[in-house]
Parts: sequence; C-alpha cells; structure tokens
Amino acid sequence: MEFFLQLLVDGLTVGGLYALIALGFTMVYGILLMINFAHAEMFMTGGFIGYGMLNLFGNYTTIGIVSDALPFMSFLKSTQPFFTTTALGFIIMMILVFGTSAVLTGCLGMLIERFAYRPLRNSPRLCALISALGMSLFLQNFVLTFVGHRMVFPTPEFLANLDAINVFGYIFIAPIDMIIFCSALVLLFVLDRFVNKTKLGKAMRATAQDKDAAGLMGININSVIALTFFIGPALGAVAGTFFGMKYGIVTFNMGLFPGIKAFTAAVLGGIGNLRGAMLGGFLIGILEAMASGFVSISYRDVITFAVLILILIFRPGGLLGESVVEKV
Amino acid sequence: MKSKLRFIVAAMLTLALCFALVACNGGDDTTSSAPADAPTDGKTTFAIGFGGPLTQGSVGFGQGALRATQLAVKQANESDQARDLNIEFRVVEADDQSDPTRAPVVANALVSERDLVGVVGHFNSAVTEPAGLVYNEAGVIQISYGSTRPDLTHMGRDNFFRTCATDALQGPTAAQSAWDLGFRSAALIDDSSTYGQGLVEAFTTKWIELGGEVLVEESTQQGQSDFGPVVTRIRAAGPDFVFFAGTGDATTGAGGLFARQLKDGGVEAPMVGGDGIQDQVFIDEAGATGAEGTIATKPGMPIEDMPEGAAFLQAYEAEFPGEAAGGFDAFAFDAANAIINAVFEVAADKGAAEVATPAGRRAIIEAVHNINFNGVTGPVSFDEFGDNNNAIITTFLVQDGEWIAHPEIHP
Repeated sequence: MEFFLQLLVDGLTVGGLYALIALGFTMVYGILLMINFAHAEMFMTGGFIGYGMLNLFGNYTTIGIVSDALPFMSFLKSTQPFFTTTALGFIIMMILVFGTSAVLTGCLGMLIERFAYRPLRNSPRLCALISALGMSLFLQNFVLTFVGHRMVFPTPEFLANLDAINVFGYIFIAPIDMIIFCSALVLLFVLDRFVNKTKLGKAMRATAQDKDAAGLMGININSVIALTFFIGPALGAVAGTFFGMKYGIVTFNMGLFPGIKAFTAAVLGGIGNLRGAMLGGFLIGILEAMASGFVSISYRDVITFAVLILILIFRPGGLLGESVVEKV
Repeated sequence: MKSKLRFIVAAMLTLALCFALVACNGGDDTTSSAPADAPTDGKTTFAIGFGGPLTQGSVGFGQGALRATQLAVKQANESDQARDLNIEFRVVEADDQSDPTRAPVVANALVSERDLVGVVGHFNSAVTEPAGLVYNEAGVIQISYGSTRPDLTHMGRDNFFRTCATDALQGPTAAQSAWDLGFRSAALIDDSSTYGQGLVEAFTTKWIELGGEVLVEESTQQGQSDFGPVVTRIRAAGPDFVFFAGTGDATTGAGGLFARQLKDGGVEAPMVGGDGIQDQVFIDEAGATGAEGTIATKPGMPIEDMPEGAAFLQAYEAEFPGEAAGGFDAFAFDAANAIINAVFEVAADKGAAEVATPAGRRAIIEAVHNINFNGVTGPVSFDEFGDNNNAIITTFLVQDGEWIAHPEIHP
C-alpha cells in the first residue's frame, strides 16, 4: 500500500508537469487544428530563462560575471543571501523567476506564431507542421550554440533545508514536488476559469469553434490566436522551470521526452479539450509511475502507450474529447 | 505599420535577453576550437584526428580529452625530434556528440584529411565501434582513450588500440570493491547503452560468484530525467548499494540526476558506478549532497600518483588555466603520444613524405604494436589485440564534493 502511495506521489508530480505542457498543445490544436511541435522547445526555453534568472539571483559565480560586465548589477551580491536563505526572499525570487520566464517565453511564443505560423495560416496544414518542426530544431540548436548544452543550479539553501514531508514514515514528498503539484493545480484552475468565465476566454472558445464566423462576429482573430500562443508557452515555461528545479539541471534537449508525453496526454484527454489535457497529463504521469514501479522501467512506455491505444479504440476522440466531424 | 514596429521591438528585446543569458552562463562548457595552422617554411604537416563528444553527450570527458590531445601535440611540435625531422602536427577535431549514428559521418570527415596519420578516439564504446569500421577500411590507426567495452579489441581490427583498461577488468574490480566494503545486496541499474550493458554484465558475473545478492535489476533509458519510480522500488527493496552502469551526464545516462534523486528519495545506500560517472560533471549534476559518498571505479591510477603525473598536471594547468585534468585526459594524452612517437619512428625510417601514405600508415600501426614508453598513466605497450598491458583499476569516492582515491581500498 505504501509502495503504491509513493508511486502515486511520484506520478502526480510528473503528471502535473505533463498537464502544464499538454495545455499548450491542446490550446493550439483547438484553435488552429495544428500540432505545435515547437511547444516542447518552449518548455525548454522557459526552463533556460528560469534557470538564468535563478542563477542571476542565487549563484555567486554568475552574479560575479554579470556585475563585472554591468557594474550597476552588483547590488545582487548583497541580496543573494536574502533570496536563497529566507522564506520571504525565496518566495519573491520564485515570483520574479517564474514571472520573467513565463512572460518572456510567452512573448517568444507570440513571435513564433507571428513569423512562423501566421504567414502559413491559409496554406495546407502540412506547411505549418513543417514550419513548427523547423522552429523546434532552430530553438534547440540556438540554445545549444549560444547558451550551452546544459545549465546547473545548486538548490537554494532555503529549499534544501526544508525537510521532505514524511507520511506514515514511508512516503516521502519532497518540498519541490509539493510546490509543483500545488502550483500546477492552481494554474490549471485559473486557466479553466479564464477560458470559461471571461470575455476573452469566450472569444477564444468562439475562435476554436469557427474562426471565420468568430471573425465576422467582431472578434479579432489575430489577437485571440496571439493570446493562445502567449498562454501555452507561458505555462510551458513554468513547467520547464519547475522541471529544472526538480532535477537540478536544464539541458537543450530536455523538451524531447516530456514533449512527447505531454502530447500523448493531450491526445489521451481529447486533443482540443482543456480539461482533457489536464486529466490526461495526470493520468499519463500516474500510469508511467505505476508501470515502472510494478513492472519495470523498460516496459514503462510500452504499457503507457498500450493503454493509450486501448482508450483510443473505445473512445477515438480521447477521454473527454467529442468526436468532431472532419472539416473538409 | 504600428503593429509591425511593435513586433520588431519585441523581437529585439527577446534577442537582447537571449544574449544576456549567454553572458550569465559564460564560462560553462564553451566549445573550443583550434584552427588548423597553415604549414610553414617547408615543414611537413600531419593531422592527428580527435574524436569525442564536444557539444552534447559526455561532453566533460570529450572536452578534457581534446585538451590533453592538444597538449600532447603542442609538446610534440616543440620537441627536438619534430625540429630535426622538420615535421609538425595539428589536431583535427571531430564532434561525435556521443551519438553512434553520427560516428560514420565524423569518421569519414577525419579520413578525408589527406595528411591524417592517426585518430585519438572515440570516447563512448557505442561510437567507437562504428567509427572504427571507417578507420579500419582506410587503414588508419585508431587509439581510443575511454571506450571500455571489452570486445572492441576482439573484432579483428588490427588498427585498433586503447590506452584504458576494459570493463572485463573494471566490472569485477567494482564488484570486488563493493564486496570488500562490506556490501552484500545490490540493485543493478544500467543505462541501456553499449557501455552500460557490458559493464553491468561483467559486474554481475563477478558479484554472483562472490555470493552477492541482487534485489533489483533495471534498465533506464538514455536521456531520461525522472527516476522517481525506480528510486521507490530501490527503497522498498533496501539494498546495501546501487550499482549504476552508465554515464553521468544528463543528456545520456543521467547518473548524476539518478544519484540526486536517490538521496532525495530517502535511499541511504550509496551509488557505485564505473568510469562513466567518475568526473566533475557527475558531481555538478548530482549536487554536492547527492554525489557525496558515491563510489566509482576507473581505469588507471590517480594521475598525481604517477611518476610523469606532476609534469603533466603542471603543463595542463599552464596551457589551460582554470581547467583541471581529470576523466580520461591522461589516457588521451598517452594515446596521442603513442601515435606521435610512431610517426617520429616512421618518419626517421622512411622520410617524412612517406608517413601519410597507405604504406606509412601501415608502418605506424606496426610501430604502435611494438611501442613501449613511459606515459602519464604508466608504461604504455599493447598486447596482440591492442589492449594496454598496463591495466589498473582504481576505486574512487566522492568526499566533500571531490573525487578522491577510496581510502579504505587504496590505503
């Protein structure tokens, strides 16, 4: 039982990350009917930006290099202990790090939409797909060439000093896992409210239903799509930074596996459906944990994808997806 | 018009940020490149190929070995022999990115150098094997500095040598070390690579022979970062130690991330590994607490204990300030010197013009078969298969964030 619960904890944390990434896939698909392959790279870029910020606030070496180049930044030297050791400082740092990472990656997502996808919006869908693949390769290699193949960051002292939450003396929940799970839930809830309750959200849903009709009803399609391309990557960036904090490292190719899994999660939940992506993310995370815990990690993907195929046989639209008649 | 302007401004801001990030990460793992020197004043120039992971994969090992090769070449160019024979060496880098599918491509690129006299490389066993096929066909000598998979020297390629000892020795030594430290039950994890599977096999055979118990057996994937469920299984089984056969860096075997998650997940048992994790990258990625207490075996003796070691470390430090010699650097240095010495021999014998011809390359291979010199890693000479006769395995331990020779095993 304890073994099962511990695996559940493992699965829920990873699932939270998958859910955050899956939203980006599903939102774009819902509106443009296009699979945004570059989304995994948004996750990666977000992780690098978040990590850059973390290093800027919390790593003496980086602060040294930066303040040598830009003397006015040297105040960071004196604020470093505050950010890494005190609770208040840590929270402020987190807000700054995640805020910057999400906003910048969101802007990057909008840029990509503007230059790589919008010109192709009325071309065959394959063109946009290839453009997305190209964008993905470009971003990976850009980061590899100009930033490096990896970035490490020592866990902030405050976080390292927090003890793992210990349930029944057996189940370990690392503080960062707790933070990831709770933040994922909050973000998913906020996004759900935003899409279902606000005017902008309504505009998004309308655009997803029928772009042309929505345009005729006075909705600015371009800005709605741009907004979609802001929110998706921003959530991906949050996931990327969390990923980095959980594992202590970001690498230029870290988007590959989580990207595939998150895409699978989106399909499992019903691509185009927001709540489906959230559900799918958690399901895939738990499935993976159970498969590798009870069977073997070598069979993890076999089992996960076997379940996916089974579900798609009985519900071709995914768990929460409605079967849409193919638009011609 | 206005919206276009907005986009351009946004684009510029994003770019500016990217470059700021570059600055933040400056100094970490930048790829170095040594431009090929143009031949000067009638000297005959020879290319020594270097193959290894330089931008992705086991970069820490690859970059270090490249520096050692460059150092060997620099010292050779300054030597009296080079002046007397009027020859000069240059290093041609080939970045295999630890990727077996890239191996033939980079090997062919090296072979296409007309003045190529030999190749120092590659690092990963999975890369060395397919690349070796190309060198074998071209009749060029290949000396690996870090490929420890045992059967590489038994593929009927007489142009293949290696300066490092193999997993046929390393696996049993690791098992013996673990047994000597009082461990009795093991969790065996390999990273599904050619190297990892070979090592775990060699380890298991000896471990069972010693009477050790195996509680968990798992193969992780390359590039995997989440080991949570494996950690949970290991914790439930409660072994004395976790044997990890694989590489340490996050883009391949991710041993560092695994060690970190073992500690975070409440596994008290230490990790024991092979040479794949015995470098600074592993400690960086595992974090100081995650890496503490990790044990690893590695071919060779600690460099500082060797007679030629001090001079090597000093020259290395002088040539590459801020970089510590580690990993397989000494093996690469000796591999490069084996080729260089053979070239000197052949050049003195047949004349410099004959060295880079098929007959000359053949003569180099023959010369290396009979070579015997004192390298940084000890006396360098090869057996009939091309394995280094001087095969020693050292067991290391992470203490206070640094690899040191294990005090209990090497008192």
